[in-house]
Parts: sequence; structure tokens; C-alpha cells
Amino acid sequence: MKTASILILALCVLVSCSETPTAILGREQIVVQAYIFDGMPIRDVYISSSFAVGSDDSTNAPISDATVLLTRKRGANTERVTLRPIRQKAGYYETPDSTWFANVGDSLLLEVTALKQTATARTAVPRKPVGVSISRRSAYVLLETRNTPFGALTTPRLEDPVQVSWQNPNTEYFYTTLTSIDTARVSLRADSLRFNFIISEPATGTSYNVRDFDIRYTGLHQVNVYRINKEYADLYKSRSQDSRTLSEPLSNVRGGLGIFTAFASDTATFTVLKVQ
Amino acid sequence: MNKIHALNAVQARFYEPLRQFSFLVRLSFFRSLLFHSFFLFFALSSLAMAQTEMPKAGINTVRVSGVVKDQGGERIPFASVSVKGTKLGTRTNAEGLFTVMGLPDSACTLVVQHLGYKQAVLDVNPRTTKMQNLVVTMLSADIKTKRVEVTAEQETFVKAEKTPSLTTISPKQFQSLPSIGQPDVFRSLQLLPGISGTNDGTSGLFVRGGTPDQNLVLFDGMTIYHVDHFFGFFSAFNPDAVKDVQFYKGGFPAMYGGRLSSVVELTGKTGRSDGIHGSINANLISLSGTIEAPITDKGNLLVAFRRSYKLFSYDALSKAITDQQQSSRTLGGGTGRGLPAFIAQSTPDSYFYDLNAKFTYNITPRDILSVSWFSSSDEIDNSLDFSNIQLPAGFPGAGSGRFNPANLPKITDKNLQGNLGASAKWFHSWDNVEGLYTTVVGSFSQYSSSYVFKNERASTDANQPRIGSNEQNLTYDASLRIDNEWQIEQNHQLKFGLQSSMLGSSYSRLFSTPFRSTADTFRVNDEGLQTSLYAQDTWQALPNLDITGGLRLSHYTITGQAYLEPRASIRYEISPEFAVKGAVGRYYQYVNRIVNENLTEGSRDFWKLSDAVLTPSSANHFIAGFTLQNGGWLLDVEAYYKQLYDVVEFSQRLRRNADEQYSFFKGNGSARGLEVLLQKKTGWLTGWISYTLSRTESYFPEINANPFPAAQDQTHELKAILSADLGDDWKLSSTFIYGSGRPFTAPVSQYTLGLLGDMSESYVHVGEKNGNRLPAFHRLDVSLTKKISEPGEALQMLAGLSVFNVYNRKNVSYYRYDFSTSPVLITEVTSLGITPTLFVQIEF
Repeated sequence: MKTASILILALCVLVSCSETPTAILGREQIVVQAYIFDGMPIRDVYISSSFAVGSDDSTNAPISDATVLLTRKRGANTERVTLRPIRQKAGYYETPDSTWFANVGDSLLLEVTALKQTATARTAVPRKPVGVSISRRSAYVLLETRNTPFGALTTPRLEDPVQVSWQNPNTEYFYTTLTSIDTARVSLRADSLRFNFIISEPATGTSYNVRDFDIRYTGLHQVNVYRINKEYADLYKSRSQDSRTLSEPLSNVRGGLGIFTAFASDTATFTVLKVQ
Repeated sequence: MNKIHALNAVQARFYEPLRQFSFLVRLSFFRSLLFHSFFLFFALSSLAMAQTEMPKAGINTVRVSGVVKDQGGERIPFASVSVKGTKLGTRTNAEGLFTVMGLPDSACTLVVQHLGYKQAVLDVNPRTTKMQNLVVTMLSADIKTKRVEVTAEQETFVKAEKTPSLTTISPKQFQSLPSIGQPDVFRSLQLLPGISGTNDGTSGLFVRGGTPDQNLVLFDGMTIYHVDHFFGFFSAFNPDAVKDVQFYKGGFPAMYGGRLSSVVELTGKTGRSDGIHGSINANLISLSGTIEAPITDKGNLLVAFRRSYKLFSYDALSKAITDQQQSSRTLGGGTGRGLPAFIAQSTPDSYFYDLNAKFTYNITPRDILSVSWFSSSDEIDNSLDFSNIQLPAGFPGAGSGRFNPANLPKITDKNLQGNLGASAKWFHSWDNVEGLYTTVVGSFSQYSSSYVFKNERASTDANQPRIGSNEQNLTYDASLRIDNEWQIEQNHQLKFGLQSSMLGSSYSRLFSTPFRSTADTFRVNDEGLQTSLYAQDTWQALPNLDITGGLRLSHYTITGQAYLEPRASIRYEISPEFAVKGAVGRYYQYVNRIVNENLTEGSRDFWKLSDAVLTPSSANHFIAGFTLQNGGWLLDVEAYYKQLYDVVEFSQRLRRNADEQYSFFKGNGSARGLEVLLQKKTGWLTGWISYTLSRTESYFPEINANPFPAAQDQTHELKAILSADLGDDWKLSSTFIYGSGRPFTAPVSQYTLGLLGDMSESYVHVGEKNGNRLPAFHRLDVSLTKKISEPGEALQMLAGLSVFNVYNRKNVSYYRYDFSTSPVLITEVTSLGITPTLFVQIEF
């Protein structure tokens, strides 16, 4: 028994001198941020690396040397291309042939190899929105001047509402963009908000009311209504992460993080005119 | 109702008083079941009586019966009674009664053994001595007598029983073991093989890959749901109020149900009959007092109360525990932007108490009534109020006038939890059926917990904090049990009965953030009736072969389903030294403590009843092993395999779809392992070494495509418990525990994702569920005790010094991540370091 006691004591000493706990540092992972628009050149594929918890990094690092494969299945035909990095935009990739599009009904597979990992994601180009229409072709705006702490501010106000509508019997998600496309446009705002592109939040409704805030210029405007796939709707609805529970957004990327999705759109136009 | 009208007058007389239990007769199914159960019970009783009146020819009807008591007159439950030189024997029941049948019609010797007592030997002869109502008195093992000591084995601390996976523990025996404060029942159970001993933060039992909620904890018939006291460092059971502990690690018989993993049955002390006695147990953090007194010549009363008190040591220990939680070793990342360091060192206010009371009355020589009460409470107040704070000199901003205490948060952080239970038990020994005993227990038990956190600085209305959470959980049961045990003949012991419990649980959680105008609220309330009938027979098929078979049939009103649970165990003695054993069984559980995973603040669990979607969990046990005894040594080896079905996890991190703020996940699991116990039972050095090799996996397909290690998985665990009698009433004891690292889930990376337009969101990505392992755990505790008084003195005194974590090992409890810093601050939260404790025990 004395021997056993000595052995136990020796074991105690042995294990007490053993390993020092190592820091639980995380690992980098592939982050996919890839948006495909029907009938448009594929240029919005961004590949980056998440940064490990505990590391000194604070932003995603773009990955420009990834192998990015895009497979398109259209009916019985399957075609696969290797995307190439866009030189001016680190981490972005495009198809070598700018006429290589994805159209409504195409099934797409994205495969990304980087960081000694492979991430894959699938999506399909949804149907175009149906019944896209606009309530008026011409919208008149009044210019109003208000006094603000920063001085007088002139902003446009729509004289009559402009509504874009579409059919949505299945309560799917849509979003709209509003773009000033008139080359002869005139600015209506004196402030610095002079974007020519406004985007709405995804919503399950059947219409979008153009807001006074959306109008920046006179001339022809184009409204695009996009049908959103479930994976993006899921991401959008779960996009807020609670720092306590660490609830993560839903993702359709396997072996990585992020989103790979496709959109299909239809268009309507209207002209903004200034009331004289 | 038509059935009720159809009852005859006798049946209605039985039924009517029960109708007063509104809990139990609410549902028509139960009314029907209750009636039929009673009918079955009385039918079996009548059968028993009839059979006794007509003894079968050819069966040796010499039998001996009696009661086993200690020197204070208190009955000793579950003592071993055997007939020397034969294979005849039995165990006393919970009331200390025994019946042994089939004795030879000549002189023989009864040998009575029990943990913590000297072996008692009694010569009987059916021709010259009475064979019924014998009283066997056992002397405590601590009492030294002048006569020659019995050289037979005398277990210390624990006794591995013949029944597979059953262990007996006597709380009195482990008072010399090291502890923080007072030696503890559940902490002592954690020293056994197969039960994880590496969880400093809870006295709950992780038994063979199970979780603490999967253990049926019965205290005088009450179901106890939560066992933790004082940050989990010891359990809510005052060892001064506990007489005996029966612990089934698995494969438990049909008389127990409602849990998947194990059974811990605690029998409360009844109190001594030979005058007023008491004890005081004091240590640096709590004081416990027990008083026991006879009431007339038929009754006993025992009251035990324990409460923490505010010595410097309590504050120091609280501070040590919370400091290790608040400011442990930083592993990586930047510095916090939160509260300044001098604020974070605030010590929480906390207290705990528990109260036991038991009244026992011998109505007749064959009827015993006992009423037991148990309550316990723990409060931890970690609130912080800095309205009057003064900055330390030299602190940035001190003396500049820029520092405004009103801008500091007023944080309310309170955690209150407690048990409340009561039971009334009537025990009856049938006079016309020798060896038939009936116990009727009515009990009520509830566990409640409350956690409130609010930061009132951010609030415009003190009642509606904009940052905070409020969690309330209540679980309860009101139960009626009728248990019968009947020694039909020497080789058949039948147990049958009815158990019915009205179960209820409610959980509400309010979670608010400064970014939302309304708080998220989550509420679940369930109530259901669970009723079980069981029957089991222990059959001594051969002199060296014991087989126990049983069946348990349960009905659960919430699902409307019936559940059948077959159980069986076997023990075969190949030689007096060597026996093989095995057990199988199916088990269901209707109320679960569900883990609410929270990776950044620590998980808080809640109790919830199974329902139609989260159906009752179930398990299958398969156990096989052998026992080898040689001299004072015991080698006990058991292998187990446990299948788990429909276990539940709750998560706010993982969501099935984007519309859910939280999700319940159902999954399966398995646990397998090998336990080896080598015990030395005699000599100046006693104790045991145990090793457990195990693997516990969970499979939740919606969480992970592949099975993953369960949070309680631990591959290796080694324990050495040694107690050395140094002479002159000095005793040196030590416990050493080594366990390989347990799994945990870790945040692994962060990233930003651009959404449509210019919107972008930043995220923390959490790695695979339980994909990481904590460092290995090991700890050595030592205690030195001295019995100060002499045997026979009216005042018995024991004093000691216990040192917890002798070599100050920094065992990692978990990692905490602070994402408010950049880079992330990772903190190693370690368990308590070296902690000495003094204690004294006085008995009178």
C-alpha cells in the first residue's frame, strides 16, 4: 500500500506540473458575399476571410487568390466557369466572359477554395416579379425651404404620391431600387445627399411608395423590383446578432459563412418634373 | 362519471377521500386509473392474506423477523441481514424491518452489517427463542469497546451493494473527508467512479454521461429538483439530517421512475429515542444545529437548521469565487472598455440556509407515521450601485470634476433559488401477513428560481428597464405513492405499488435591449399528471443466483400516451469472492432541466415538462460487471451502455428558421463507459482508487450533421480517496481527482457581411457545438481531523482542518468572451484556488 501511496503522490505531482492551458483562439473561415442578378454580368462575388477571435485583426481580409468556380445548370446543360479576380477591387471576382449571364430558372453552384478550406453554396435564379406597374408616369415635385440648425435647407416634396406595385400572392420578399437614369438631370437638393441610387429594405408587401426623400433629381427614373430568394430573406430577417446569445444569421454557405443568392427583376419608369 | 356511480359502497368509501385531492382527480383518466389501481392493490393484499393462511406443504416455514436499530434507538434502513453459513439473507427496509424465511429448524446465527456500524451477531434457535419482532442493536463503528474488535470487514465511506450499480453511503462516515465548509452528501457521491467529480460549480451529479436533472433525488419521499448550495460548492442536504443514502448509478428497479439516469434516495434521520440529543457543526462559512428529542415514548422529533454567516471567511470565500469569475487570466485580445477595474472588484452579497424537520410517531407497533419538511434557499445579490463612489486617487479623471457618479450604471443583479418540500408517510406492517409492508406517502415539492438583471441608468422608468432580463422558473409536483413490499417466501420478494404525480412547470423570460421599444418575452407553462403502476420480484433462483425482474407502466396526460418500462437485473456468485452481475432497463422522464445555452454570460437552465412536441425523453440501460473480494480488498468493475432518446436542447443562438427567436431541439444520445473501483476496506489506511473511461455523445441533426460530444463528456477520470487512521483519534484524509478536459462551444471568428445597398452587419461566428476541450482538471484536497472527546463522554467533539485545492491548481471552468472590445477579450474563468477551512462538530 505504501507503494500505491507513493505512486498516487507521484501522479499528483506529475499532473500538477503538466500542461499550461492554451488560449482558445479561433480560426479564419471563408466568407462568401455573392449576389447574382438575372441577365447581368456577374461581378458581385466577394470572397474574404473572417478573422479569428482573439487575433489583432478587426476586419475581413479580402481573398484575391481563391479558386472560385461557378456552375450553371440550365435545363439539361451544365456549364462551369472559373471566376477571375477583379484587379481594381480586392476580393471581388467576375466571369471571364462578360456575356456569361445567369437567367431566370438557372441553378447555380458556387465553389470557393481558399485558406485550405472549401466552401460551397447553391442558389437558383428566381422568377421575375409579375405585374410590376407604376401609379403615374410623371411626378411633380415642389421645392420647400426649411430653417435648420445648419441654415436654410431646400428639399423636394412630391405633389402626388407615386406607387410602384406588383403581385405577391405567396407573401414572398421583394425589394426595390430607384435610380436616376436621366443624363440631363438637375439636382433638387442643396444638401450633400446626391446619390442617384436608392434601395428599399426587403419587404413582403405588394407595393412601394416613393418617398420625398428618394427624389434627388429631375428627369427619368427607373424603378427595379427584385424578387428575393428564401436564403436572402432568411439572412435579412436574422441579420441582427444579439451580443449576449450570439444568435447567428442564417446562411446557405456550407463550409464557410455568408450568402450566395440570385435575384430577378422587372422595371418601371417615371419622370420627375419640377413645379415651376 | 358513470363508472363512479356504478361503484359499490366499499369501493366508493375508498374513492371518496381521494376525491378531496383536487390535483389528483382532475382528469377522468386518472380517476379511472386510480380506482383500478386501488382495486388491484387491495386484490393483491387479499391474495396475500389468503395465501398466508394456507401455507404450502413442503416449504420450510421457519422465519425470523425483527427490526435493526442503533444504540440511540433509531431504526437502520437497508442493513444487510444474513444467516451465517447459508445463502439466506435480506436487507432491512426503509423502516429497519426485516424478515428472513426458510431458516433451518435448529440453532443458527444472524449476522447484521451496515455501513458505519460494527457487525452485529445474534444467535437464534426456533425451539428456544422467539423468532418474531427481534430487536437487533448495532453499535456505531466510531465507538470503541474494550472487547476484541470484530475482524470482519467494515466499510468506510461507501459500500458497493450486491444489486448492480447500487452503492450505500452513510453521511456520518464521510465527515473526515476534505470539504469546503461541511462534508457533503453529493460531493461525496461525486467521488465514486462513473460520477463526474470535476465540476466545481455544481454539486449536481453527472452520472454515467447523464445530466443532474436525469437523477431522481428523493428525500423522505419528496422529489428534490435542485441540489446546489453556495455557488454549487455543496448540496442543499444537511448531512446532520440524513441517515442513509441509497444510490443507483443505473439499471435501477421498477419501483423508481421518472428519470433517465440514476436514483439518489435519501432517508432522513428520525432522531434518537434515548433522550434529548443534538449536535452543532460549525465551520468558517456556515453553522448547523440539530436537535433530536423523543416525544412521549412513541414519537421522535428532529430539527436541523443550517445557515451561512458573515465571518470574514464567508466574504473572503465569496470574493474568491466571484473574483475567479470576474477577473481571471486574460488569454488574448485587447483591454476592456467596460467598467474600471476598481468597480469590477465588487463582492456580491449572498446567503443560504436549509431547514429539515421530521416528526415520527409509532401509532401502533405495526404503524409508523412520519412527517418531514425540507426547505432551502440561496440568494446571490451581485448588484452594483456607484452613486456615492469616490474615485481612487490617481485614477484617470479623479479630482478633475469631470467624473459624475450619476453616469455610472446602477445594476441590479439578483439570483434567488430554493426548494420547498413536505411529505407525510404512513408505514404499515400487516399483522396477518408476515413480511408484507405497505408505505403510503403524500408529498409536495417545488423548486423556484429567479434571476433579475437590469441596468437602470439606461431606463427612463425604473419598472421598465431598457437593458435587462428577468427569468422566473417554477417546477413542482404533488405526489401520492403507495409502495408494498412482500417477502412471499425466502426466494421471492415482491414489490408493487402506485405512484401518481401532478407535475407542473412554468418559465418566463423577459429580455430587453436599448434598441427595442418592447421586450422579448418567452413563456411556457405546463401541467400534467403522471401515474405509474409497478411490480417487481426479486427471485433467488439458485442459492447463488438472484434475479430481479420488474415492469413499470406509466401514463402521462399531456401526451395521452402510456409508457412501458421493463427492468431486470441479475447477480450470480461464482464463488464467495467472485460474482458477475448485469442489469437492463428502459426509463422515461417527463420533466427536464433544459440547458439555455449562453456562451457569453454562462448558461442558465430551466425546468420544463415534456409536452406533445417535446415528448418524454427515454433511455435504455445495459450494464454488466463483476465483483472480486479478497480479504479487505474489493475490486468492482462495471461497463455500461446507455441510449438516450428525445432529449431536449434550447437555444437562442441556433435557429431553425428566421422567424424564430429561439428554438427547442430534440435529439438523441449515447453514453458508454467502463468503471473500475479498487477499494481497501480494512487496516489503518482505507479508501479507494477508481478510474472511469467513458464517451458521451449527442446527436441533434438540426444542430450538427454528425454526433458531437455532450457537454458532460469526459474521456478519463481518475480518483483516489484515502483515509489514514494516525492513531490517538487523528485521521488524515485526501481526495485527488483527475479528469480529462470537458467539451465546450467556442466563438471562433468574426466577420462583416455586406447586404443589399450599403447595409452591412458584423457577426461573431461560433464553432462546432462542443468542438473544443477545456484543459484537464485535477485537484488535491486534504483534511486532518481529531476526535477530541473520549468514548462514552456525554459531549463528543470532532475538529479538523480541511485544505481545498492544496497545490492551487487553476482549473478552467469556462472561457468568457467580451465582444465589446477590439480585439475580443478572452478570459479564462478558473475555479477556486487553495482554500483552507476549519471545522468543529459537537454532539451531545
